Amino acid sequence: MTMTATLTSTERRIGFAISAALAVLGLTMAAVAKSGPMAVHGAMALVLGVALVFHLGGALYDHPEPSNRRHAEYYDAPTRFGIVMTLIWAVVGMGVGVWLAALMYWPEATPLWPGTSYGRLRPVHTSGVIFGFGGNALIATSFYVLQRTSRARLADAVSPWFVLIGFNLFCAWAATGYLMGQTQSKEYAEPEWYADLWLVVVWVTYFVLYIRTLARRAEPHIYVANWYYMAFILVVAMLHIVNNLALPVTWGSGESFTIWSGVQDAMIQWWYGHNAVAFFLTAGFLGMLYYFLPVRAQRPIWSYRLSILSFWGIVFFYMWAGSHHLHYTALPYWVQTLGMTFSIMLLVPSWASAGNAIATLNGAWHKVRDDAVLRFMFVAAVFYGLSTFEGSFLAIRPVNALSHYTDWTVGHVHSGTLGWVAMIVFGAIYSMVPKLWGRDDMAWPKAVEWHFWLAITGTLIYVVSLWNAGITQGLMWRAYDEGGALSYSFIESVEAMLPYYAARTLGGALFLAGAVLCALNCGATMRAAGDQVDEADRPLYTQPAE
Amino acid sequence: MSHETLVLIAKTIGPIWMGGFMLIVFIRSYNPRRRAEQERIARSILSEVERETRT
Ligand code: HEM
Ligand code: HEM
Repeated sequence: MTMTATLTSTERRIGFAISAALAVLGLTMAAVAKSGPMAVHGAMALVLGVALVFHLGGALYDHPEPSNRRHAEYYDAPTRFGIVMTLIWAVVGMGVGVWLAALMYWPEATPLWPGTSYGRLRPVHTSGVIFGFGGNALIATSFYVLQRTSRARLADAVSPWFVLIGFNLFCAWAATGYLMGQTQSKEYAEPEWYADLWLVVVWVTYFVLYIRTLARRAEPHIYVANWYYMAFILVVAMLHIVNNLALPVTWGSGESFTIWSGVQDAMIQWWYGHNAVAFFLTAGFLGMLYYFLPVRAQRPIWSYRLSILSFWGIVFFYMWAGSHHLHYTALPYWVQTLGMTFSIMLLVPSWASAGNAIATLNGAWHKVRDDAVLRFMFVAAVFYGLSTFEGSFLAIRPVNALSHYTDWTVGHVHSGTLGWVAMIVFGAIYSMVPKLWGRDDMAWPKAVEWHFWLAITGTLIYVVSLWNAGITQGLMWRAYDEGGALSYSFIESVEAMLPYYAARTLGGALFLAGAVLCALNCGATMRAAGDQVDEADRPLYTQPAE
Repeated sequence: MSHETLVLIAKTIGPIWMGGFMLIVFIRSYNPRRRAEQERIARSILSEVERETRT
């Protein structure tokens, strides 16, 4: 079912007005900037706005309006769109990741166009996978989980589209901006001031929609998954606003200066960066885990009260851990120690969550064996446990002396993002897609099994090769001969990396192949559904569950 | 306020404040009287699957 068919004529008019406003905004941006990335971004907003104006305008009177029955059904069309965007960004973002991995092995392959240089493509990868793939998955699943755990339809029909389309415009601005060399030089917060402001508007709309829907819930309680999603939405807003406070050079330039300086700037950046890991790459995905794993296994979460305790532990401990990214810097020593202490304490709530998920499967191991979808979720919980253990270890100052600046960090990152984040997303996608497109199962059930093995093999090859790479690098850099001179030149340490970089490229390619298979499988399931999608909308149940 | 006082507050208040907060969360969430309700909440999402396929 298309977006317009799910909207009443009033809603279509509101959407039409918002699209027209977007087109005007884009035109204004392009006119004020005249040239450069901001002008291109203005043009992108203009084209999107005009396309939506035509799409909604053409349907203002033609299409039949949705029936009143819809109030008694979940509103899943935005989730379906979000899933499609998740899959597109997965292929783009991971595709760029594999290309970057290959470039590290074979840098001479860099084409002559600056947009294809390593430095510009790297943030396309990080933003593409974290925000494009992870962010769309979080928004799409949050709508799904919110409605089902609350037994309420989304509070209105226009704002979910505004959130999803607006968020994807932000992601597209980010990726294209980097290709043109635009960056704020803050890792994971590279987009410029106007994109940041746009994201604030999108995010506030998201939060308001979430709260309004929760307020309409037919359940007396708020299931724990929603707490995690809300922490994700709220804290990301706070982090994003504080870290991106900046003064534009002029209103027409896509350039700005941050208001922070010196070591405060570094601390704010890593308070942001680490909590982005916590609240973007962890909290929302824990929300996914706490919903999809019990439902798939058909067993309640092992300990509900432990899930509450670990929620607050994660929320409060993570906030203080950011300074572990700044060991041995100008940051006061005690602040580093504080970050280190809290990072170690963080292991407790992290393992409580991972353990809670794994213990939930006790008694259902035969399901884990037989059902690849549940296995994705199980492996996600295991890697969540592994990567948080590794993180707490890396945060110890003397360990960090060895690991910092090496590929060990990148290995840790991908044990978290491939093993934990991507696995739980794939588990959730395979759970939702057949239901949302009105099918009993995926179009190619065997391909899910294949995907699982590609993903796990790819992750293991990736992570193990970078552990080796990182520790080798760290040890080579600190080796001295009897005379006190360095035993190895830097370039020798780079050459020593080649076999590991080749292996990482292979691991990444396997992981990417799995993601492509998933996208094709979802595409086949969606096509097989045809018009049945309309019937796929599920009725709400207003009775509280017993 | 001297720099030392500020640092002392920064060093202690967070951990103490948070330790206390965690204690409250612990006492509340592990209160046996909430057990039955928690059990019901944990199960509330499970009926979903059955309900969805029944349509
Ligand atoms: C208890 C939980 C965790 C702790 C204490 C932790 C700790 C750390 C430490 C110490 C570093 C290295 C800092 C440096 O030397 O520069 C790091 C880097 C990183 N971690 Fe974790 N980690 C945890 C969990 C995770 C998870 C679950 C993910 C992903 C899903 C993750 C993603 C990252 C990323 C992306 C970086 C790289 C940041 C950069 O660009 O330098 N971490 N983490
Ligand atoms: C096909 C799978 C993937 C491949 C081949 C891949 C490859 C890479 C490469 C080559 C880098 C640059 C490392 C460097 O500069 O030394 C990188 C960085 C990064 N990737 Fe991936 N990646 C993949 C999937 C993902 C996914 C799914 C996520 C997140 C959900 C992710 C998050 C990151 C992050 C946060 C960094 C920055 C790490 C840091 O600064 O320490 N990657 N990746």
